[in-house]
Amino acid sequence: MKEGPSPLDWSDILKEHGSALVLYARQWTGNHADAEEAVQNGFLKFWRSPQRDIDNPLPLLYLNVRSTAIDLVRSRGRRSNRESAVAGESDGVCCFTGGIEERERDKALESAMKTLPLEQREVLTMKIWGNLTFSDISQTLGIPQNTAASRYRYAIARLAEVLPPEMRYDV
Amino acid sequence: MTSDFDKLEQSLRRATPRGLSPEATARITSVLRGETAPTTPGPFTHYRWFVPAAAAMAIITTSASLVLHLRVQPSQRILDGTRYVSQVAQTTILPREDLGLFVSDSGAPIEAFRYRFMEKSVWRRSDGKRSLETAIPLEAVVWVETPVY
Repeated sequence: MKEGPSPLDWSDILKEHGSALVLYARQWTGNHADAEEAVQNGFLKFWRSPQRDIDNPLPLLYLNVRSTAIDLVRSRGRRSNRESAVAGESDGVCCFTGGIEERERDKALESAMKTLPLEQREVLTMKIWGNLTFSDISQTLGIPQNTAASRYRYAIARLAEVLPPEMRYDV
Repeated sequence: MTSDFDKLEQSLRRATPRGLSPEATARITSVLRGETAPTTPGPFTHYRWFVPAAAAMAIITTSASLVLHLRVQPSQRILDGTRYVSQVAQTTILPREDLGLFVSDSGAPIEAFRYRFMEKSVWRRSDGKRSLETAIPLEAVVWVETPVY
């Protein structure tokens, strides 16, 4: 008898994607505490969703975290000019967490990412740290795969320009 | 040959995003464990409460059913430090035949029944703000030990 897909284990998903989801949510919230809250609420929403038991739950998971982060920002009266709010409301907690020797590198990367438009940052985050495919990203954002791929290429090209030369290939 | 594009991608992947704090992970875990915990009596579950009969506010027993009104103080913590019951929204009346009957180590009979309540979680974030107040309907299995006189 053919067995169905094995049931999802939320703790495995959380372990594997928690960090990338926080970084993803932070593209809207701008600070770590709000991003954590968005991930908490988004993850619970995802887990309670009847559609979650599917072969590939990642687009739904990222979609829920995304909408929760946006709602959170809106609920705090930051409806206008989200991107500048992101740049202005950082809590000083770097969104990357390397060791002491990587601290400078992490800050440089964080600063470089802030120069990207939001639509490129979110694709970059999903692709690089969430390991989502362009197909997953297009499902999450409701955009064609080609659009997702081009936003990604623009983001990489921009980072290549703004990262300090010594960090471009050793971030 | 690896292109500059690929090299930059690889370099970016080496940066580690800051993840969820242990407290945030514990909060998610706490809620999801509650929602996925078995609700049938026995084997003992994470959500087993042991309530001495004397601690219950009132137990009304009829021939057909048992109703428990349990007084739960807002400060009374259950399970762990991240959640507590702040309101009791509903008690469930169950036919007596649905109730489990067990015997404790001391030989006293223990009645087990399901109890639905609303759990209100008030969590503190890493920056100290209160957050995520959620009323979660939860079903617990409560054991009431009949006192032996």
